[in-house]
Amino acid sequence: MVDRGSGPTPSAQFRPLTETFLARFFENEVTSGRTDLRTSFFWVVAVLAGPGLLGVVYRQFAWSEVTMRHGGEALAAYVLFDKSLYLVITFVAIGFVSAVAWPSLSLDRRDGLILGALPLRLRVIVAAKLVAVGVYILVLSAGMHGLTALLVGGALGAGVSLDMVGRGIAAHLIASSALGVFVFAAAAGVQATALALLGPKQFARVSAVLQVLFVGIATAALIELPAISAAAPATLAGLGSAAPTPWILYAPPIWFLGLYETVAGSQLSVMHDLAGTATGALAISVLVTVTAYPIACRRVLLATVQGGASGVTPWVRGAMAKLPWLLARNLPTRAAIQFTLSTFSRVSRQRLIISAAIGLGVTAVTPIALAWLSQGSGPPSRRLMTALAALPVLLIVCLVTALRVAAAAPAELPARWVFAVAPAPLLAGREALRRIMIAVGSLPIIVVSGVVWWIYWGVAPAIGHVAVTVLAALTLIEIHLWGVVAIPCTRLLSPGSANIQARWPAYVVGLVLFCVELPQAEAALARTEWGLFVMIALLGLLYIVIRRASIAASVVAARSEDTGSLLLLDLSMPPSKGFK
Amino acid sequence: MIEVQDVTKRYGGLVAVNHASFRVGPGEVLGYLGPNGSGKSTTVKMLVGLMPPSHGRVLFDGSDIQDDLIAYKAQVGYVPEEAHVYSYLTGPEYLRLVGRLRGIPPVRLESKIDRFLALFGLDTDYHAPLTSYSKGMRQKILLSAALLHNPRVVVLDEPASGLDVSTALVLRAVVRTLAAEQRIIFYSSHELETIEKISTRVIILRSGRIVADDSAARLRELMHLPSLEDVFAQLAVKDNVDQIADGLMAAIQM
Repeated sequence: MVDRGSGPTPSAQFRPLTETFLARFFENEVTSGRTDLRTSFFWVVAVLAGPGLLGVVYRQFAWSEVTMRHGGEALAAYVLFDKSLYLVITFVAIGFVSAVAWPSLSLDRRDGLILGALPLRLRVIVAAKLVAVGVYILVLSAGMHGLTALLVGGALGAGVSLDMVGRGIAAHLIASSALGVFVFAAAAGVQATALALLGPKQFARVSAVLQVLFVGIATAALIELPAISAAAPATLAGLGSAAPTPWILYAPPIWFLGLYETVAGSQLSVMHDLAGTATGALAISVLVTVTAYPIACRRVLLATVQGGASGVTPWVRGAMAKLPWLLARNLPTRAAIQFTLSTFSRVSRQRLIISAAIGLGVTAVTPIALAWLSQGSGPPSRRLMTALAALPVLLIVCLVTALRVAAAAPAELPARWVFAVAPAPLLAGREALRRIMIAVGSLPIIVVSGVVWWIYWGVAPAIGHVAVTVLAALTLIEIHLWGVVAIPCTRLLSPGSANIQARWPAYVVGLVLFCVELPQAEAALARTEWGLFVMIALLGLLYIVIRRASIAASVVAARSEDTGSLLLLDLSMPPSKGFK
Repeated sequence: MIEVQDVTKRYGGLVAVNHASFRVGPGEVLGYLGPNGSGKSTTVKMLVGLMPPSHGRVLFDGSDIQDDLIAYKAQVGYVPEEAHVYSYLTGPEYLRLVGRLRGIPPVRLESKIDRFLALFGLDTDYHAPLTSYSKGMRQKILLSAALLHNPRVVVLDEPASGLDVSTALVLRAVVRTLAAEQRIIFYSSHELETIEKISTRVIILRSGRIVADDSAARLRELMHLPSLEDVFAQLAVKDNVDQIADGLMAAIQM
């Protein structure tokens, strides 16, 4: 006899579905351990909450002093700088989180194939997905702002009244969380609208551009962070010596500063106006998301059942086919290059990483380029010359690091057996990645930069600049390839082995050396007769030493099956180990 | 009773299924055969309600399944051709998700999950994520998920793919028993021997069109051929097998 239960009800289906969607933000098949990404998530929360928390602790003494000397009301105006700084940091942090969480914001092909055959209404799937996205951002906000809100509320209201303490806590928590929700909802809304309007196939083509845009906006805010924060007190409350800067009123963190002050009890009309803008912006971003989501989900579910979407444009396909032939004569290396380039251009995870790096790079170099273009026809100052020398190195650092991280991220792991059974040379994967880093991550930038140098400053300075940049790029690439053995994208990601918490000083020092010290030395030595030649010789020597050491480290890693690695994300496990 | 009425499915200009009509009733095992690209999986997807036909209707107990797709899907157990699962979940977690989405009461669901896992020999991998499962183990999870809610209609698309011999034999026995209990079984596969042994009726598809619909024995008799394999070769295989094999050998030796 056929015996069935009470039957599925939408409310009973909602919870397990929400849990599954939520789990996707914390766990996935990318990581080697089940708790690895969850641990990383807590690190992310800690890193995001860190600056705000440290800022509050650091500034408490100054706040106490202002309170003692001028009273609580003076403090309320004085802390506008700190509050706007905190909100801009929140804006930047959630912007980057949104870009990283981009692939998890909507449904994918797998959802369509698994859920499509189950007795589920579209509205249940949409509601579960929206709630999962909402819970994720709220958990993130609570982790990021909870403790800071208590400290800020306590510090700012302690000298006034208990009511002010409560208001301070509520204002901090509400404004910073609302800003986070606004940014995340904007990302989800933009994605859902694009999906609803274009459909999955066309969306796959514009998705990377949208990611670049998001990272670009977040990075622009990061660069403008000091300017916005410094201008806030003068512009909003007529305080301080700085002149009012009306353009900051268009910056979303300042809208939410208005909300912050309004909840905290401010009587300033400008704050009430800004609070209105913040509330309206938040409502619109949420409304757009909620409206576009059902259409986007329907289109995804239908399209995934009928066939996969390809986001590769014909010219990219053509380039992917020709590049391996140009880059390598050795057939296994050529095969590894072909596989890696195809993976980078077609797999969403790899595309996200590279898009984010391009966005970051372009946003970082834009102010330098604008400063140069706006200064007129005269020779650039020494400071600007240093910045211009840093420009290609900055871009190369962004791109090469992105290629390294993209190579460490897995793609279609079950298919990696093909490399295990092929008799490829020990370091074919390493060599493939090296050539890609040179051809894609460095060469185009060096060529453009060399041509610009040649046009504006002549042949000799251009040759010197190109030589320095080439050697810097090659050295950087060898450092990134330290201990690398496996074919790119063919092993599980181990964020834990990057050991960022212990190694971050080394990364920061490396970044400063490449992006600040090296261009400064180049700009300074370019004015001397032999200085640049000495620098090029020393860089050449450094490159040879690091290349040898890097190759030796890879050989040792391959022979000892050592899974550890010096740099950001280890890729050193030999492909023969750990296949399923 | 499931009735497929003059169903056509187009993907743009490509006609994947072309005016297919057939019925499958309680107690029947309908074997669905066809070469790659003949429209088998497209038919299956329309049959389980994953996508609507471009033309024609699929009826269940006389009603179009599109009229109340949710109620229909609640009656169907489906094993897909590709083993799509949330691979970050463990086997029990995946079954719990499917069971809860199908409204199986928690206590009954837990005991069912335990029994399915024990019977399929997966109880030792209780805490392992599906990403670490072999193809056969994933297939067992998919089979469990399809049968967990005791469905009236069972749609199997290459269900024995990756299964070991003993599990494949168990599957055959389960299919026969389900049919004896008056379930509707739709079995799509490339395995001619299995289809011949378990199906009460066989449909052969070629380029989206049904070219044969009868019992395996009757098809053999009508075509005066000794096996279903010969019938299939005659009706559905367009290519000259020997010629292609020769061509392949030449390509290997180039």
